[in-house]
Amino acid sequence: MKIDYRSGNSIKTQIPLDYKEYLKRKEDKQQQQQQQQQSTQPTGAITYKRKDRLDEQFRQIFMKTGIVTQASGSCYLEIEKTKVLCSVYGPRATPKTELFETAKLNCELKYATFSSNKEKFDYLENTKEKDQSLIIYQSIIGSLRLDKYPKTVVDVYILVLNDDGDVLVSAITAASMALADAGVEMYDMVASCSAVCIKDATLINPTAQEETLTEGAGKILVSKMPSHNNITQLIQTGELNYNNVLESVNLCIDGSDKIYSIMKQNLIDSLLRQQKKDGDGNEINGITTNAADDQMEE
Amino acid sequence: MEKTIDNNDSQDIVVTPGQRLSKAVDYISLDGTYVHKGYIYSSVLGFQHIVKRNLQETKENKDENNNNNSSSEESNIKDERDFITVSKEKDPGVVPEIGSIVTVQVLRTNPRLASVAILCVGTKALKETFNGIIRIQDVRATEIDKVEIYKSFRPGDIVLAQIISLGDSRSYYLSTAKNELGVVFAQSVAGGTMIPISWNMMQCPITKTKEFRKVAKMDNSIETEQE
Amino acid sequence: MKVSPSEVSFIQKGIEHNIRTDGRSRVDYRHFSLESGEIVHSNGSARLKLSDTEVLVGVKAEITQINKENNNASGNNINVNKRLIFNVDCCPSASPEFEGKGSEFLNIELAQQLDRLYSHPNVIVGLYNTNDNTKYDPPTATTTADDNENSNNSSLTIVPNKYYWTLYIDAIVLDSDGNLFDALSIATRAALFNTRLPKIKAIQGEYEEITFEVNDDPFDTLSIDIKNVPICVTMTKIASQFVIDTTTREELCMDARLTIGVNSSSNICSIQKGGISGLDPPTINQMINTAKVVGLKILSTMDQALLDIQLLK
Repeated sequence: MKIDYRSGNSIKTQIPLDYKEYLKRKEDKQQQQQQQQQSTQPTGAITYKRKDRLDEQFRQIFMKTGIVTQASGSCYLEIEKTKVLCSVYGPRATPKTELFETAKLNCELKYATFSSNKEKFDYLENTKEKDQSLIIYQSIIGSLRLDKYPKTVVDVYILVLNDDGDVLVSAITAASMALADAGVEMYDMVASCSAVCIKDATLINPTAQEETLTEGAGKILVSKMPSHNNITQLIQTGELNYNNVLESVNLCIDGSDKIYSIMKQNLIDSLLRQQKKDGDGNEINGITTNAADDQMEE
Repeated sequence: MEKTIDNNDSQDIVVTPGQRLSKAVDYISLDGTYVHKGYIYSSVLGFQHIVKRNLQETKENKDENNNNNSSSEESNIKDERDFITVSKEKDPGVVPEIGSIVTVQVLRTNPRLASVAILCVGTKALKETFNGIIRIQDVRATEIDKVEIYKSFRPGDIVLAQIISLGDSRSYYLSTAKNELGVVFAQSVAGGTMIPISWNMMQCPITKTKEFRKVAKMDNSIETEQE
Repeated sequence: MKVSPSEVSFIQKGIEHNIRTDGRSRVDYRHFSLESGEIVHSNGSARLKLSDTEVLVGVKAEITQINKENNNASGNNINVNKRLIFNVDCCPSASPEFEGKGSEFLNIELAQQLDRLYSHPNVIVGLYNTNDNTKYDPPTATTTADDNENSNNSSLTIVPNKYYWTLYIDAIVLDSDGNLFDALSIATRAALFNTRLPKIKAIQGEYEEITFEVNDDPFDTLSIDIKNVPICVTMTKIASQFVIDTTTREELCMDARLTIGVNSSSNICSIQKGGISGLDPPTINQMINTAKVVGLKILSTMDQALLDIQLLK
């Protein structure tokens, strides 16, 4: 028998982060119940109304590169409560080389045990991490010039510190930023965006709550290299009709472009700031670095 | 490669990976850039430099153009274009390539080869070492059949070598078969830093004992050989 | 398996001229044969042979109890609503590449792909009596105030909010000559069609405990309505064109692929991109459109075949 000693004799409670949050959740839950009672026909009847922002509005994004000192490159990314840390090691020697002409990309996503309030430690979790690692791998491998680094391996480790929805988008974005920070040569950075398609709306950048409330609705994730107009990853789940798919893909493409411009600005700022810190601040020309630029509201 | 980076160039601007820099016909793509569908793009985060074409025309522009080398090779002889490159202040990750001069430390020897750890590529130190081996036939250029590894290298020696092949799955293959390549730093049993006295001999300043080494002929030519 | 550069260029050029190495055009499907009900110990099974690709799918139904404590702790435990559990195993006997850990990631990718394909809550519309094809009404929730039971896959409910059927769908790849995704999805659909669930009567005892009475008549069973169950069509981009139903050799020279799930109401049920290089948006639109047409064609052929099988029995 499996015994979890940590929670075995404690009462399972969920402590809300703050009172406001608590009230919001309570309200949402009531709304959810009402909706369930109202909706008798199941097909496509998932509805949800966003209150705090528009359907096509992003949450606030914060990112900072170079925060893990030991890594070749790193990035910390916050989309409000979703918090992701990515570090890149390499290109470095690998003990076992199967690939000769190009570098091998190794991508690992891990959820911190405290990253969500779900019941943890079951076998499905491991599969989920592996599956998501694979999605991230496929998203970014096309952007890298791995032929530049023969006989080496590039390791990308992503740690999800807090899961409040849109983890994959955060992870892909953070990974691309960290790789750029590490100076790994690439064709373009990969920006990503996801959306949930419900009855008469498409919600960009969903929160964890929105993801669970709309369980079973259509979900779309797009990652893209904007300067080549190239889709590197496209994933859809749930049932949608053809026009809906195209519409949401286009929305996500626009969303990725917005994320891309934030990423770009952020990298430029970080480089200039670093140079300023290194000594002569007189080389900065034209671009003002301001901490407020890190946070951008679309 | 002989090139002069004009640091006072007013065109130094920050570029991000994937940013389009210019048309491919205007510049020759160098480190940190690549050519795609007739345009030059940046492939790293850094500052864009325009490198003025040097009078020396001998160097082929390197393998940067390998994605799209439609016109660069044939027009290279009378090419008047400047180079374009993107570089970052922070040291980019370097990896050993065929032909690069590397600084290695000898880890262990056996009668057929010396196992080494690659510490630096050119003038850039590596964050983590790569494995390499110097096989007995690659130690020196002449009298290959008379080479004995233990008379050439001892564990702990610092050696300058050149990469001749990406090697097998585990290690790079290195060669010291040039005058300027070989042991540059070695300690004797007594702990003194040995002084080279001939092309195959070093002497300990403390005990005056002589030991065999494949000694590198040190002069300033090495510095300019590397990138 | 490996392909040489000249082989790659041969295949690519052929595809550019709309003729593939086995004589098909770009949008031709290979012949496939379906058998069902081969595994006696499972509730449903199917075997698909698509040229040399051979997959075997077994469905096992188990009764699962909803654990109240898990469910209401956070309110967002997804696994509770998961009633189809997929597992794919690529046999080492199929290809030496599947040996040891070689197939680990492929297995996960294939299983997750199926999982995504069936992610819509109304994949299984309902159950019907096998004998007379009449609709079978699952027991409905009597206490509407209880919020734990979603409408998700409610047709697999035995006792509302307490017991439901979980279908364990295990697929084995016996031999592979490309197009595993599509083969698996077709075989899974056929296996679900073949699945027979025993009729169960739940009897409420005194102290809230429930006992089951299983109808042991092997012919008085329930079947699954697969009207809404999708299959997937993989569009593979090779050179500047895209093709369907690739062989292993063709897969080795692919640039990118898009696996698109389609159901009989011509809705898109899942999309997943694979492969290293990217795709531009117009190509993607084209691919989805083609997949829709091809998918519907396969679905109608398949439904006809399944009915024939059923009549033969």
